Amino acid sequence: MRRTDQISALVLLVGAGFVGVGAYRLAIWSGPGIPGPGFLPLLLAVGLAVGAVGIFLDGTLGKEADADVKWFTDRASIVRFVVLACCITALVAAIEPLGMLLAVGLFLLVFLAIYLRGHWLAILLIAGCTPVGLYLIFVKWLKFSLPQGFLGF
Amino acid sequence: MDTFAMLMRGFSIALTPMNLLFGVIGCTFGTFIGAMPGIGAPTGIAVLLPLTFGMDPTGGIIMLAGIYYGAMYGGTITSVLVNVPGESSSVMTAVEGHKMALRGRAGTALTISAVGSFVAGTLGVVGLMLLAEPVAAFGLKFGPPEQFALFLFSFTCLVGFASESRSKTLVAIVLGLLIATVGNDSLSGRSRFTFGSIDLMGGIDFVTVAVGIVGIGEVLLAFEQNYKMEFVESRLGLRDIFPTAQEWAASFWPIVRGTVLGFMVGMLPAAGATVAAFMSYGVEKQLSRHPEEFGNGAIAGVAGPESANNSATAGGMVPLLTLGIPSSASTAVMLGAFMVWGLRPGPLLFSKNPDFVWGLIASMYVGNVLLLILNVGFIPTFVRMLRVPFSAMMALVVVFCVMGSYTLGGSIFDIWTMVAFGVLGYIMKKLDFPQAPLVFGVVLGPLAEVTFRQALTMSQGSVGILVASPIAATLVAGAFLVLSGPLLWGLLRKMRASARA
Repeated sequence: MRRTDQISALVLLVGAGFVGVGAYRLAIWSGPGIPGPGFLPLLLAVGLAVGAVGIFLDGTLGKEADADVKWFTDRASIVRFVVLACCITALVAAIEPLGMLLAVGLFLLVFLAIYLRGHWLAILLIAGCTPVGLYLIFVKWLKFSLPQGFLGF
Repeated sequence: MDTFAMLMRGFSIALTPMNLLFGVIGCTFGTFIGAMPGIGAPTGIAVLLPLTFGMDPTGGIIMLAGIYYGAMYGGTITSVLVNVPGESSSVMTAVEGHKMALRGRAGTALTISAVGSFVAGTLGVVGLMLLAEPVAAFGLKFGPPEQFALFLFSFTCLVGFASESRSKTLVAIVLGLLIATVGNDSLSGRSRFTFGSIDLMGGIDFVTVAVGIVGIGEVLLAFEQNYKMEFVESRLGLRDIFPTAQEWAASFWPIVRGTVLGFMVGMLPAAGATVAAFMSYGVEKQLSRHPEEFGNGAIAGVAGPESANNSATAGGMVPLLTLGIPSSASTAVMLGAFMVWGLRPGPLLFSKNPDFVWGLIASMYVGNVLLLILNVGFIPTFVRMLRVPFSAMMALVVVFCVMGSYTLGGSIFDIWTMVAFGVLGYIMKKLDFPQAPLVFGVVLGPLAEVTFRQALTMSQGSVGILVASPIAATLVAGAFLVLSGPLLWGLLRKMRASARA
């Protein structure tokens, strides 16, 4: 029995029900013989339910049924995942108050300080040069305007 | 104008200094991305895609195509020298090539692989050039029912040829199509699955999804798994890389067979370079006079699959350019890029945008020459580049993903959406759900829905229209065969076995 497949199948079945109800509310037909906005979503809800049942059966009866998902190999892999996920979240959250370039520089500084400990020159070079490179490529060359923070850049 | 004249026009476009520079950037970046374990061509294309938004589309597609086929070359480097395939299509190369490296023949494995890739890539472009226009002319006969039947056939190919679970592939396609339905309905104007959010009314752009799923998702997984690269000590000077006459002879037919097989497999939706490489390895092992050498460093096991995966990239361009149907995650992302540039891939692309199409085709010839030079003469340079700390590379990919999702619509909401899809991509990988079908669904979803609803409106709601014309009926029958084929084959085998008993 592959419990992760069974759980994901149940989640997908709930999702299929949700999409089906949403599709029904949107109107399946907009006129006689004319499919409405809910037509495709309704078919997709059915497809999702069929796929979910298939996953459930594969997970219960299939050849790989005994090989459950191993989410993390060791404690270090959990730490690496959590640190990267937190750094990405912090980067996105910091873009509006600090501006894109400063947020990117800080993200690189903090993240590399954790994983390239001791290589300070390399860290400072990457964290310093990347925002400058991005400014030259995106602002000067491609003429995009990037979010500016309270410091004005 | 005839094909030769159009090709010459294409060369005049591809060889302009700027386009040549984009080609060099694409090929170099593609080789590097291909060599990095955990990060593949779709990620490379998705990450650099936003850079092309402000560019001329021809330059943009030359760069993206360079990444696409450059990654196939690059995947060999780590397969041979580290025994870690940079690309899934290089798995078989790792089996044989790394054994060769352990015997001190790394240079030979890399050279045979580069030459095979060059021959296959170049002949594949010849095939693309010869087939594209007739297929595009045939595509002009497609109305909404035929177009939808083609989408249906492509989706069923994804499920039918899935290397992962068929049910999970089906769910991935459906999720992609569902994501594509979010926003205002293009025909009725009603909001679908927006939950009252103004940001979602315009829909979720495919770039946001693709960059999240194949960019952030892959980075989260690769960083968590912390790939370590320990290179086999090899002499890679110019004197050490030339194969012997015997090795050339042993590689000749595998390269030819791999080229033909790869091109044909590459044209099929869902098959792509990985399937082509696996099939080529199987064929070479079957045909070999010394099958016992396979698994111990057989040069044919490097030459065949490497040729196959490169000609598959050119084969994949045929349905992409002529019918607007991607054959892999990489071409799906490229298809999305076409739409961002305001181009609609399909039969009319050749007549409406000849400079774009022929510039791309000519650039593929140039790109293969560039890649041969890069992959024979500059392997030590790439090895040095690959020694850059993995964490630094991952951090830079994250930065490009964030920049890319912002530059599309200039909205922080898009970045959060991209990160959310990154988490979804990571979970999908962990649960063995394929990511490529989801990207297919998102990219093809809007067009598939419009053609489906148009076809049904034409027939006043009767699905019989999908089998009313010979083209549509053939495609629907093909879809049915792809899905039911394995089941029917199994039944047939059982009946034969019971008849014998």
